[in-house]
Amino acid sequence: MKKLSGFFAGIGEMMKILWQSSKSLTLLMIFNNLIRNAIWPLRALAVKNIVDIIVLSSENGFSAYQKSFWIYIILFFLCFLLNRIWWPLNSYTQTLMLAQISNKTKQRITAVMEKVHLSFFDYAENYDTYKRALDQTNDRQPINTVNNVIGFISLVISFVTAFSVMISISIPVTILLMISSIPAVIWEGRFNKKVYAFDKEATREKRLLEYLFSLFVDKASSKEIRTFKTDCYLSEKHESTLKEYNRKYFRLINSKIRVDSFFWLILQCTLMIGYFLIISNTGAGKIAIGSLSFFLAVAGDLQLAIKNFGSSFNNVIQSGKYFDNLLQFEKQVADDTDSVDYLNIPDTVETIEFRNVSFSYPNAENETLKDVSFTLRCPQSAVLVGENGAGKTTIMKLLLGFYKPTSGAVLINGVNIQKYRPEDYFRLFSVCFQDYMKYGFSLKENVVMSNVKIDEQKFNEIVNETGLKDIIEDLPDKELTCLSREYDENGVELSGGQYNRIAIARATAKNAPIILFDEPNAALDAKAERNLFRLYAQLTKDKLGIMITHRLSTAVNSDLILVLKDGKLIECGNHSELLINNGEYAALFNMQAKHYMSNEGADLK
Amino acid sequence: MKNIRYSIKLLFKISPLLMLLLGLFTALSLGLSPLFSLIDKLIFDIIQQSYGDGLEWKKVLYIVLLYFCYNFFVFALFRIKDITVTYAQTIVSTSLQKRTISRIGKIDYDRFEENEFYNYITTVQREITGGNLLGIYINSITLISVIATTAFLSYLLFRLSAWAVLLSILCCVPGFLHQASFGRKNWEFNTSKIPLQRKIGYYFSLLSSIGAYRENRIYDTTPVYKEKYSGLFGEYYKELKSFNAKNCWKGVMMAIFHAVGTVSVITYAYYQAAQGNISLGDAVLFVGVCQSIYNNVQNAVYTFGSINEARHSVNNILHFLSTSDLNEKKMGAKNTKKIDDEGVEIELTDITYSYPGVDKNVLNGLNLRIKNGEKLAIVGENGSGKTTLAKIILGLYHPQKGTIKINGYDVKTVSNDFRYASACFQDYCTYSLSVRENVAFGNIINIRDDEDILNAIDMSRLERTSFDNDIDRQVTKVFDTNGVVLSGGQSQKLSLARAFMYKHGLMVLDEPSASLDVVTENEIFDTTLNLIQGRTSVVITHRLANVIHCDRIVYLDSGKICEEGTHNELMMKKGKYAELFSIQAEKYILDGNNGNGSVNIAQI
Repeated sequence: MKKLSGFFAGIGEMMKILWQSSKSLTLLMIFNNLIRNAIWPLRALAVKNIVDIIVLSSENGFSAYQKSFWIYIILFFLCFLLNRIWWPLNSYTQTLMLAQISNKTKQRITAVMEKVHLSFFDYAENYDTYKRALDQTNDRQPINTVNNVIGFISLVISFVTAFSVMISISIPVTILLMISSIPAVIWEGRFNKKVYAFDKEATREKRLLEYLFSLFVDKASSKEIRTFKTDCYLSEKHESTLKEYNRKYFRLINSKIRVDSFFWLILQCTLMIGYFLIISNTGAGKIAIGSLSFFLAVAGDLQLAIKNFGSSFNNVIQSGKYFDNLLQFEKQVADDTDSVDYLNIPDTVETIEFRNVSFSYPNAENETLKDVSFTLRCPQSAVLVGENGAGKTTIMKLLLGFYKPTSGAVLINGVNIQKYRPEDYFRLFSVCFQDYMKYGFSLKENVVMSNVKIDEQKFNEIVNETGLKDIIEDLPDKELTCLSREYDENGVELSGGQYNRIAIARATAKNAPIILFDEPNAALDAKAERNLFRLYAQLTKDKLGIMITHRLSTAVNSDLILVLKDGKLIECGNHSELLINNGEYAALFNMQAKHYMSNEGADLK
Repeated sequence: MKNIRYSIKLLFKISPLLMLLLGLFTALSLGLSPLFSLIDKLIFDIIQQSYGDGLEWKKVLYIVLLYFCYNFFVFALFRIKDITVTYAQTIVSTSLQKRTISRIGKIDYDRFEENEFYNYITTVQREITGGNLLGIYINSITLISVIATTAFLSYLLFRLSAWAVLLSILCCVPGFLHQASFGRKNWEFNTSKIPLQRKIGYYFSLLSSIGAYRENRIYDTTPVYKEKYSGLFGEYYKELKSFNAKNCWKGVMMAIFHAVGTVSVITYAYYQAAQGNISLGDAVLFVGVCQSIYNNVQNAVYTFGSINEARHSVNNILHFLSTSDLNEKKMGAKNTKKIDDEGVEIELTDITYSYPGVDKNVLNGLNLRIKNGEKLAIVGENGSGKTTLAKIILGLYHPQKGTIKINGYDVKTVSNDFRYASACFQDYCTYSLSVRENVAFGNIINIRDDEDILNAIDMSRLERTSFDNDIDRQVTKVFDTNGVVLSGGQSQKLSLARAFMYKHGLMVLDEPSASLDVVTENEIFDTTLNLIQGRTSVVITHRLANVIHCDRIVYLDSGKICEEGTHNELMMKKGKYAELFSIQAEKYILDGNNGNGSVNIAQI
């Protein structure tokens, strides 16, 4: 029962998605499936009647039956025609429907992405749901799924038609044929479960195969393959995975063939008994010749149809589950969001405060941040320092509201940030992330996308400030050059350091009250780095700023240095205070400084 | 036609026996259909003669046996054919993948810099999984056997009426022609829409990827992308619809034409039978044959269409496997002498290099000699050619001009399999495989040597706890939900461990500390570089403090060496290096001068 209700729920959801994607195409698809699957008994019926007429007219003359003869010929013609136009109609409907469904699911995913909280993806199962929902936007499966369902309904219709005519010809033979199919139906259902289990397992191997193959094609990995000479190992691994996959696949196929042949034999034997009885009875004149022709045309197909019932039904159940990932993805997000009366964001930002903030990532045992408290007042700028994994980036994520603190609160102007309206909240920030995006747009779009109001003059100012001028001059179409060759042949791929400057320019262009830079200098050379810090100082002159960096020289002029270790804020103060304090910061600073110090006397004075 | 010929040739090279069997079974399975109509004719003739008089059971049994035999042959043949097809598919795709992989491995790395090449290779990859190569062969056989069967059927029909044959065949000509051109047109349409689809895909990835999520929020770009996306999709859909609607309409017209022709012939047969001019059995045969011809022709039309479409979609794979124009390293005269890789000495003379399709030279007549055991640092601004130089030293790039000598032998004469270097790249890989594999890829022979692997991991300062002390744990969650996810710094350390796996020869480190914190960076440079003391090594970095102790520092500017020497020599020179160094030192030194940090400096 549970299976059945799940079945109907799945089908309902799927039909809804179809219907929303396109009403006319959905109707067309149903029509196609009907003419494909439900019309053959009708055609056989027409032939049966024509044959009867031929036999009768050989006794009584044709003229009495002329009218009904032509009626059945027309019926025959219609069936024939519909069967024939199925192909062009079907290819039309499927192509368009596929595009529509893919578009619809993409729109739905986009809608979810707009609402979802970043922490959602930290749960492995959520991430899997998301990934699977995403994978499904690009495959042909939805069409097959839909065809499975509509095909099943047509199968039932054609079955009922064929069955009712057969019963009128011979009840015992019909029953015999039906009963003989039952073991096959049961087995077919069981076997399908095996197939799905195999598919699930095999998907992983298939993906691994694709991954291994892609290593040879990918730019970064093919470089390592050549340097480390790992090609033999990788191709052997590829081959053995492939062999393993093939072995399992053939084992499955073999078992299917063996059992299939066995059932085929049972079905054939009963069918032949049926043939024998019907032909003898026709010979004896108990059954009309037309009925014989119907029987010959339909009996075998009917038997197969019953046999396939099990697998079709299973297909349909599996199909019903197809959109589960998308639905689950939507549902989880719906649970995640709640409506509150939000406050408007402030025009100016006076303070940022972390009050006893502790945080641990979902499923993680350790706390990433432990009881962190600090306050920044405008126009202070702070630098966050600490080892890898000390929690620097997490502080930034909490401030941006991507994550909520496990305990404690993040406040702006004394108000908990969760009270601000989420859609507007990000207007407060100009951010340059550590893993900034490289957009496949023109250089100018890459910069001004953060603020469409920027005019030509302002753009030029930013270009000068962020050192983009040299880059632009080398580009074929200057600032209008596309920064990707993915769909623009004249596009140019920039180096890491160059992209880095563009990401900084993008953040600069937004001109928001709070500036956040996360290791903006990782890929910059010394000169560009110096320019960047000058820019940062200038940007944060009358604003609040937080920068994460490993280069402690940056911290020297900063108003506030926050030193993190293992999630705890261990030191806080300006450069001179912290050096006098002679703690962690001083140790780190000296570690970097000693290289420069040791040369100071010898070379520079 | 050329593609079809090539495909079949290639398939026969892969497995001639399998292809022969496949051809045989396909042809046989198609040749069976006319027999069915003959049995039908037989039974109706018998029944009509003795209708109402009863049939001898022996006679009935004989007919039933005929049916059974027919069904059995059909079943067996189709089964065998299916198995052969499945088997062949697996064999062919396995062999193609193997061939492609070994072919790619031999291509010079320079070509990966060409965008076109990358697209080409990914298309090849797609075509292999597409499975069209085998499809072309099967469809060709199908087409031939369908034509042969149709000829036989026409002969059967011809005995009844010549004009019926003519009409049956004629009415399918337009459909055939339409389908023939459709295959090509459809392929052309799809190909022309690839750029648009890529663009649509790109906007969707911006809307849906987690990577873009944060910037979408910060810059509020989602509405812009949404609008772009639906605009582009609308454009694509409109064209898709009009193209397909036109074809569908044509297809339906052809179908009507075809059906009218065939049904008139069938009606004629029934009519004749009703008039008593021919027997019922003849009518049944007539109709059966007519329908068989019809099905066959339909089959032929679509087979032809799909061959037409498929032959375009194997262009790249065929080209890839048959062309000799891929810049592969010539396997000709090899230096068979074993070069001693314990010591590596490299000499670059007059090296000029530019990326494919780019006019500007990255390196301009560069000369450099790296002595055995020397620790060389390459420094310079972004874009000065540091990484390119490193890749040339590693033998990945092949300069247009100049010679590279390793231990006195020209690289061109050294075997491809000879390994003299280990490296940690700026854009290192983190493989979605086990920790063991990730590290052991540096020296694959030692993949089973746990001690060696752990040793390399310790050298890179990667905490063993990050993978729970189990080197067989998977990295990333791609293939294992229990896999470990490493942070940027940890991944970099993992790639360093990979480089350390190889104990001798040249070591190249390209920005090995970009995402490392201060402590680790110091450890890597101070401690670890000491561990590879005595090995020839090349270090590229922006952090000049790290290279002070190198034996020689080379300052690269616009593809040329403009300064070289030890740190002290270069500082005395007060040139570009000194300038760059003082920019970095500025803050630290200023601080030292104003006295705040004097206590600490004294401690050093």
